[in-house]
Amino acid sequence: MIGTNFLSGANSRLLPPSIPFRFFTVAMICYLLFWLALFFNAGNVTSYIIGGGPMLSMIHIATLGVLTMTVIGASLQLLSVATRKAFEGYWILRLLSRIYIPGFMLLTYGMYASWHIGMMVGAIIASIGLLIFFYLIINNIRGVQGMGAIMTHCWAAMLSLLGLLSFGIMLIMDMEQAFLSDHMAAVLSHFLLAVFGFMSLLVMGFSYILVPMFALAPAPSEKIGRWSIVFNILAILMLLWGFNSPSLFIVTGGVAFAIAGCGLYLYAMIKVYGARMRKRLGTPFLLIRVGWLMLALTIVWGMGGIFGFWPDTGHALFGVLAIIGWLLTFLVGILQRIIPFLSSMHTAGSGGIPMLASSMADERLLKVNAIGHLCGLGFVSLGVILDMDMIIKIGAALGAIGAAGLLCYLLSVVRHLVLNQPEKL
Amino acid sequence: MTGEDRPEWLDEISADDCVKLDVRPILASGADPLEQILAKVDTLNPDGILLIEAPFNPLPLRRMLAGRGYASHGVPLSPKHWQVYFKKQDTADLAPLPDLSDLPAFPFYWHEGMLQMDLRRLEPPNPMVAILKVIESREGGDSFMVRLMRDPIYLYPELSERNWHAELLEEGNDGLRVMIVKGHKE
Repeated sequence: MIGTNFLSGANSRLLPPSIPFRFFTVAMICYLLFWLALFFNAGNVTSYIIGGGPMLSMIHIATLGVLTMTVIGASLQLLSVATRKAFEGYWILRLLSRIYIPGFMLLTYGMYASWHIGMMVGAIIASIGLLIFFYLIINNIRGVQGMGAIMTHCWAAMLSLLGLLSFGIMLIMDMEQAFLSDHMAAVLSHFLLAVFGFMSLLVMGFSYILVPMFALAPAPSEKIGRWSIVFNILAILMLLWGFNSPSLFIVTGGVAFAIAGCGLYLYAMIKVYGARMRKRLGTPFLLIRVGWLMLALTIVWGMGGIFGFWPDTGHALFGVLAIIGWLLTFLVGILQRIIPFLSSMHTAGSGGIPMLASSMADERLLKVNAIGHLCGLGFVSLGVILDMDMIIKIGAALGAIGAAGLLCYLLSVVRHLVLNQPEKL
Repeated sequence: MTGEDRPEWLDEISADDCVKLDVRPILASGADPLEQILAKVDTLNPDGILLIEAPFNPLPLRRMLAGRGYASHGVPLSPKHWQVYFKKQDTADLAPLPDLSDLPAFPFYWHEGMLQMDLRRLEPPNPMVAILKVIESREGGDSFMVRLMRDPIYLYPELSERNWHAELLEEGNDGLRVMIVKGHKE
């Protein structure tokens, strides 16, 4: 008999902490770097549309650095438990980090310095890393019985990953060779597949497990999840078609499907939240709820853009709402909950009783993070709306303070794990 | 297909000893057999056993009759043919079942004074939520039995936080049998 130690086989499915935590640590460093980059580039935020340089690098520090690293770390750990299929070996997970992280660094440096060769080589290396991730996920979810809605989200996200990588490589090649007939359509397609296809679909899919698990509520109806993913896939396909045809009519249809898909997702999440057993959910769920609000605002604002209601800075506000408001806010909220949860599980082996996360790190740092992040989001959004660099700078500085808070929290937890659980690392 | 532990009240009972109702033709005709089932239940004598033949495991019905004090036992004969036995329990000895009506239906009954929950068909995180709801309702006693398909690794911090723990009793191809016990492991 075993107590709070893991039951049969669970240790093999709970990854060594060094694997998810290496992705989370890099993600948190990138999170701080992103706000600092925003501070130093505040003057270019509202005018930037396309092209290499610090703005392109900054956007990819957020998407490939913070969001993708977090999604990789969380999905590797979550999927192996949910599907009851352990990964073939940890070496391939470590290889993924050893290829993807340097590739990402070279790519974002190449973008920053407008160094085309560096950008291209970095993109190829990072793509190899992401293709390993693609292989791991597809191999894990293939043939899984049940959890149809979640598995469909994963399949759609992985296919979007292939699409976004293809558009990304083509866009870098096009910077030198100018072979694309419509560079802007390719940029929009790359953005759509990355932000709404790959990352949002993975985030939404895992929400159906993670949000009820953290809130202690019954999982939402499978039927809602299935319809939501069907509408979201149709939205992405129609938007891709509409951007590349180009056709306002088809784009409008795509937005209508996006409203239906995201609306169903938000409805399911609100129901879960309302049925929760855990009444005090703390700062993680404050961030998660703001993330949901920002998703709704992103869709509404995107619709405004399609019908020509955007001011000159409308595209920048759309990027802020989608990347910082929805994805970054939501994932930081999830990380605030996952870090203590995972670290607590990894300490369960010694003496059988999981250690409380509060004894590993100062939880006030999570409040610093939430306040800094939300104030940062608010000021940056206001600065973009008013087109005032100084307000964006204030927002970026507040966001950086918040990010430093979460990084310090994570490093305290990692330090504790290194000192107390070296055999598990 | 996963089987349930055969209860003692079915020992030495054959299908011929039961009041039978085959609801498959009723369902095939598109009608709802609930009224006919309840009419049969009303005619049962105190020791009588009702045998329902159904094309699936009728979990909502089992839950509804459990609320009226009937224990049930399901036997899958094929993917589209289930036999489900119902017998009135001595309700004076049984505590009410905790209210888990917001979760999808699953086999859930008292057996020899211990609450039994077969959570194998629930998708995550519903098994964890069901277990925690029983603990928080305080209606499941100081220990109860659960059947699970997955190692409930995310449950342990929650159990520990509530001063409970899990003990693995059995592991097989049809999942795990786990006892959830009050207090920390000694």
